[in-house]
Amino acid sequence: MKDKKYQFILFVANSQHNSVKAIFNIKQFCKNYLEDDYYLEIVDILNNHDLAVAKGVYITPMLIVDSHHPPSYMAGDLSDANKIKMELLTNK
Amino acid sequence: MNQTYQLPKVSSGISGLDEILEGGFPKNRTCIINGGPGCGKTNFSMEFIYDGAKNGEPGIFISFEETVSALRQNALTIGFDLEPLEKEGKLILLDNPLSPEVIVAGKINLEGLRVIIDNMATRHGIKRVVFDALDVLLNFFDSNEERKEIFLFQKLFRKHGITAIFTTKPVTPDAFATYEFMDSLVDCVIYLDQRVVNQITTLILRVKKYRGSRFGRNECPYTIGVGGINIIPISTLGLRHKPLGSYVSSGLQDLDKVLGGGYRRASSVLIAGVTGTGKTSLAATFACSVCEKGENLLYISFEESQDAMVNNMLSPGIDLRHAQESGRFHYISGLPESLGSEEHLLRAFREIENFKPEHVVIDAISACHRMGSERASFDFLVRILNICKDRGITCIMLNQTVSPSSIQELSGIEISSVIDAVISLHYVEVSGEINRTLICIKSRGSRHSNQYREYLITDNGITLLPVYTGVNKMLTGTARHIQEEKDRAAQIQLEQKIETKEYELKVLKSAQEELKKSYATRAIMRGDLKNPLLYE
Repeated sequence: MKDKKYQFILFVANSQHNSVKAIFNIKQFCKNYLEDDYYLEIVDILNNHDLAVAKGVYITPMLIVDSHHPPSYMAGDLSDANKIKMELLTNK
Repeated sequence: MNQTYQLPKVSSGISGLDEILEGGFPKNRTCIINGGPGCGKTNFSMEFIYDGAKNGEPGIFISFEETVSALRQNALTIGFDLEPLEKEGKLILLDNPLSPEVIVAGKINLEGLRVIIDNMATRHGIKRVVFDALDVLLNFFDSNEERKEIFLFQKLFRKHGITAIFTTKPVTPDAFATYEFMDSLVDCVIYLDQRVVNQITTLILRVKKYRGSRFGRNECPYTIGVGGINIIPISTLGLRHKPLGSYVSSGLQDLDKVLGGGYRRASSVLIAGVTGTGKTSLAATFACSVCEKGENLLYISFEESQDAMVNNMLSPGIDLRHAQESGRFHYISGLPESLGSEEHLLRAFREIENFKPEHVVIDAISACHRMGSERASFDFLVRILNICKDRGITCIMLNQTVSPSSIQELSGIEISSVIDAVISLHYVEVSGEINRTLICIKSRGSRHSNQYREYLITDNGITLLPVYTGVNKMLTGTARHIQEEKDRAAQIQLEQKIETKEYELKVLKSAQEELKKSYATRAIMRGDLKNPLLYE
């Protein structure tokens, strides 16, 4: 898990509409562009809000790219694949 | 049923604000504090949270602009130590829900924040929430979404019985469409503003709306300092002035007589005069006298430092050092320009509250003009007077007039109607010298003298000379001496004249006696003794 190139944590809330969309979108994105070189953890704030506070996540959906130093934050339903691509390419 | 329903309210914890809001913020509802940078929005809302945390109403403070560590530091500068309360779980700070580094890729919402607040509210019994700089967050939404987000938050707050404050920045014309709904979504809107008049900045608060409650609609200045926000409302309903009290000696027996017994307690006394007429000396004499009696006096000076004043008063023989050492004489000084009138007022107010003086001296109210506007100095004086009158404190105000004689400008700053006694000090210029006279123009509730009295500032304090009741007008100084000499000379002359006349009278009387005797002798010699009267 830790040896994958891209480490993602996706925070969602309450299985809301745009959270569901975000889960779908990130999975689609990984499949299309990252082959198998990624690890994705999905956290529902409802069940694990301590982690959300610790990471400073108050907005949902929020994708944290943990493999970046410092980690990058991407908010929204992740429908904009180009923005994610740009972030992953430019930020190491 | 005459009693109307009162909205349940939560104390804001901010001194003076509860009075304006007639009890505090509306319980379980949302308020907006709107103001530009530097108005103290964060301080206002932080005081609300801090006060709640200390008084059994835990709160969450969410800042959209500052980091948690900056918040803690800033709170410390106004005397709020947040960390112990954080450790007890009574106060929770959250920062930067949407930092600029976050890349927005698609639609977002604040469900996450709601879940967190929901959870914390259940766990810690949160009763107060602040969103500081909510406008930052709302930039990410269009107006429909904004409305929905706010609505969902309000629903959450109602569920937990939370009273919330949102702070926002003032609406600029082009941003109007974005925020216009905000003020109507909430129950109470407070506007903060910062104004500069004549180089002096004043912070102003105004309550714009308060659903379901009466409130003070007027603008009200406030200050931010150690201890948080301070508001002293200008127009509290109804005057609670104490009636004029017993007489207290002015420190000079003769002046007491002029005043009809002395100054009245709880009265306001104006001592007016041009520079050098001895206003400060008169006030210092009073200070010495009351401090000796074991009463407290607060001296508010806009002109001299304490050391300079005490030292200068030694020259006319008024020794305040003992009063100073006994701790009964408190002195605060500062240039009027150094602070806004509101801060001056607060400083005086604090001193009055802590020191509890029986008497206050303000030296000189004419300097108050320099606090900014005419209006500001008027407010300052009227409010100080009200504070003093409410507490039964004698308030001696010194006023430096410009022209030596005009009675109109005595009161200065249009406060004459609230003044109970006026002593006017004058210079009289006669035959190449200047002499000082004083007159009591007004002394409410006392029979005062209507005569000008000459006084001297000697090495042993101020001395009033007896009333000169000679011919013509009142005379002072050398002219008075001359007149007195003349009077004495005239008297001596008259005495001498009387002596001369008395001698003449004696001579005439003895001549008459002689005549009588010779007439009688001649009658006896003639043998005519029929008229015995002739022999007496």
